[in-house]
Amino acid sequence: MVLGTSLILSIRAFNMKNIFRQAGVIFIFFGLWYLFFLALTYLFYPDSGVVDDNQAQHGGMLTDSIYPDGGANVDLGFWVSKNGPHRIIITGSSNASEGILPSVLQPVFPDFAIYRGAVGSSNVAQLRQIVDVIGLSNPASMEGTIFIIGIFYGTFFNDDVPIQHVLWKNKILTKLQADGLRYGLYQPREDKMALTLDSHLMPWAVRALRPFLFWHMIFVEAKQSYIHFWDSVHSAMGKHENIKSEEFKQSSLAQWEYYLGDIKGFAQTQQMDSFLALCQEIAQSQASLVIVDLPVPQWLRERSEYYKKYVLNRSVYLNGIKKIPRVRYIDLGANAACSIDSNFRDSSHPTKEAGKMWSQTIADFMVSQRRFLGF
Amino acid sequence: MDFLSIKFFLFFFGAILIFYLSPARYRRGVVFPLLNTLFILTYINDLSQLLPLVVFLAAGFAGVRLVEIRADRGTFMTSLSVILVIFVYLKKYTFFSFVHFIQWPYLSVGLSYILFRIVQMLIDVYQKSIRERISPVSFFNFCCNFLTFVSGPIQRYQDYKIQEASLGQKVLKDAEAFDCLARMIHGLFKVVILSTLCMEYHQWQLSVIQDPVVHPIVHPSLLWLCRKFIIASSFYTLYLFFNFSGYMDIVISFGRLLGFQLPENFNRPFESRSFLELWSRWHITLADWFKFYVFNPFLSLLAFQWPHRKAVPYLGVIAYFLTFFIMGLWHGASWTFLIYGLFLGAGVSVNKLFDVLMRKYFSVSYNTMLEHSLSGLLGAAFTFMYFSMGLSCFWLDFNDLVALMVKLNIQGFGVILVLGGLICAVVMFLIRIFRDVFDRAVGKSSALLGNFYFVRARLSFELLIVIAFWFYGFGDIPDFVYKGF
Repeated sequence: MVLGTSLILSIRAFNMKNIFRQAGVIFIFFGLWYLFFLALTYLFYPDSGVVDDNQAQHGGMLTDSIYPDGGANVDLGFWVSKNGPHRIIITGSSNASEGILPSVLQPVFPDFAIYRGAVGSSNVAQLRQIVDVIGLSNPASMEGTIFIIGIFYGTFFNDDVPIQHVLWKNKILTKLQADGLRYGLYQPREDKMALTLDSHLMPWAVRALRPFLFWHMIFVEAKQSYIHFWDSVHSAMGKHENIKSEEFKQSSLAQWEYYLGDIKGFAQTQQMDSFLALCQEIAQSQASLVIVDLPVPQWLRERSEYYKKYVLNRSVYLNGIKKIPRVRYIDLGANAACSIDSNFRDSSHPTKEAGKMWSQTIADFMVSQRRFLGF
Repeated sequence: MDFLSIKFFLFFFGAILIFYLSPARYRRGVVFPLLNTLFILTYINDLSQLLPLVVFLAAGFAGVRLVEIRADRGTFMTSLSVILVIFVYLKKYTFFSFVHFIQWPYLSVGLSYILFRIVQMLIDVYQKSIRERISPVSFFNFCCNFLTFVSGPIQRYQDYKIQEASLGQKVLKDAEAFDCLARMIHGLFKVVILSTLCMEYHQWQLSVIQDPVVHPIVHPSLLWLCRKFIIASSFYTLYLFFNFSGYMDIVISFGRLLGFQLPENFNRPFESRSFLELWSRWHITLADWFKFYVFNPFLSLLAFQWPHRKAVPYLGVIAYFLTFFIMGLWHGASWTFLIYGLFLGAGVSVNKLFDVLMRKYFSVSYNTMLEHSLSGLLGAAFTFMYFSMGLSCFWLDFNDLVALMVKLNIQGFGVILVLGGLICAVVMFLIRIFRDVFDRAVGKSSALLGNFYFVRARLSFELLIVIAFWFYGFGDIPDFVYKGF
């Protein structure tokens, strides 16, 4: 009996020791890998406290290019705010990401660090969240910042339209909120994102995440490379010619109808007022703002009821904007060269060449408005 | 509790600690039921959500006990019927939509698998395959074993009991402990990375398919739709495999760490050369359960009704159809799974009939015919494609499924099966070549690959990538799919 009990006890201790010893060895190796990738990130992206402009352009782990498909980055708020007053932040939907290029703006504004903080399928509510995240870590840093917000008719859809939602633990979150949750540094509180840690711990938390952010960048780059590969294959096969077809146009109109929801709730005064309020808040925080009304193809302007409704209603915010200091508006759609159909690779996104042209037009406009924008 | 959560893994590693730290005499009667209860409690917010499960278990135990006391046909049939009625009621089968179901939210996770366990006990007690009296604690531990609670693997009571009796008495050596942890990490890799990628690709293709179905303005060609369907359905099958088998890897490994030898559920299913063979490689424990407790009784019953030796193979065809039809129905409480059942039933019965006819007219079995490498490859490819077509019942709701079936028509399904089968054959052929080359390369550098440090470094790197991808895919990592069944 005693022998049996001691045998079982020794088996118990033996088994547990073996399990935890093996798990321990794996975790030691895991720790070594973690340190290796941490060191690697410091080698390529040193933590100088100030983001190098060159890195910002070429895409590094401290810049928005971690999310080249337009997602705002969880550490964006922290890193951008550390970069001091000379910064330009581009935001909007995915067409803003592709149509307002830091690489074109940078030579025109060499003293600024330029960031792309656009989130695909953003509406006004999500644009507000992006601005909140950027100003969250250090509200004082808003002074001297220039926001470029790219809008188009597809920005003014209702909050209850599912395109911008992610279901998380039975809660409906915007894509940006879900993105903030990713590393656990933010959490949704009412309609805003709140830091989960004390703000002075944020730099350490972001540093601790560096090995994972590094791999995040690799995953995103891999996905982009895959998409670009097939894009070029399709181009070579002449499949992009398809966008001229009547079938494509009809399909696009139907898709937009699905994405933007019921036209009754679309581009209403409430959304225009919210946008105007956002512009006023940015101006009150001592930041400057350039609103770029991005073009859409000519055929869509003629046939989309949503576009027509937007054009009819936009006077609500246009009249208000004129009265706000440090806010300027440019309608790229009114520029014939920018809005011809051949500038588009689909029903809203510009081709690479058109993106450069749009960006140059915006840069020229900003230079002409230098006095009003405060730089 | 989400499967892919820190809470889940803390629970399992905590369970190992508690289990090994507790005195042996309390392990079976106290610690194990306590762990099972705690596991179930993680799924609920309110104790009232447990009530239907408690009723189901109580009815199951009462039924088993009644059959133990009075093992006559009437008692057995009554007990079985009551259990089935409660199950159907709790699962809210659409076919019985005229019934007033319970409206408040309650725990339904694990019900389907508990049904298998209760029915198995009822049958085996009735047939005297289980002779011992089943205690309430053993009944609860068997039905609600936290390792297999969510979705198996399905174990027979007799096998479970042997392992329960030897709990904590098995020596776990270093190498075995490492194997378990390694398999767990591989399982995570399958679930977090591979299944997510397959699901993302599947959804991308699905949106392309659904748009034309939803928006009748666009009329894509039949070939275009077939091509998209082939890709979407194939990637769903891969997703399901990685998701389910990855989860099984984790659960089986945890079981082994505790001294449980849970049965395997997958064995290279995509190497199956026929639809019948697939069910000895895919969700093995479910298929075995159905063969043992549904197919065999059906066949006996049919043979009893038509006692002709020559008729037996054809009766097998009918029994196969009925068995797999019921198995399909078990998967879900909606009309979609009626179609799935018909699809599975048709697949196995045609397969069986073909085998019977081959034997009769050419004196050669279907399996012998598939031994040739080319026919084997084609068999595997068409099996995969046919199975993938059937699994579309998992990702399309009834209306979309019907709309797609109307759009595809018989012609479309023919194109999908033939074109998809040929594409799969080419892909499988290339994978085999790649695997041969890889195996040869591995053979040459086996000393390095088997090195202690190399193995652990590779495994921990895999873990790091899994965690990084888990962050990256936040919100898009699919939950464990069979949790819903």
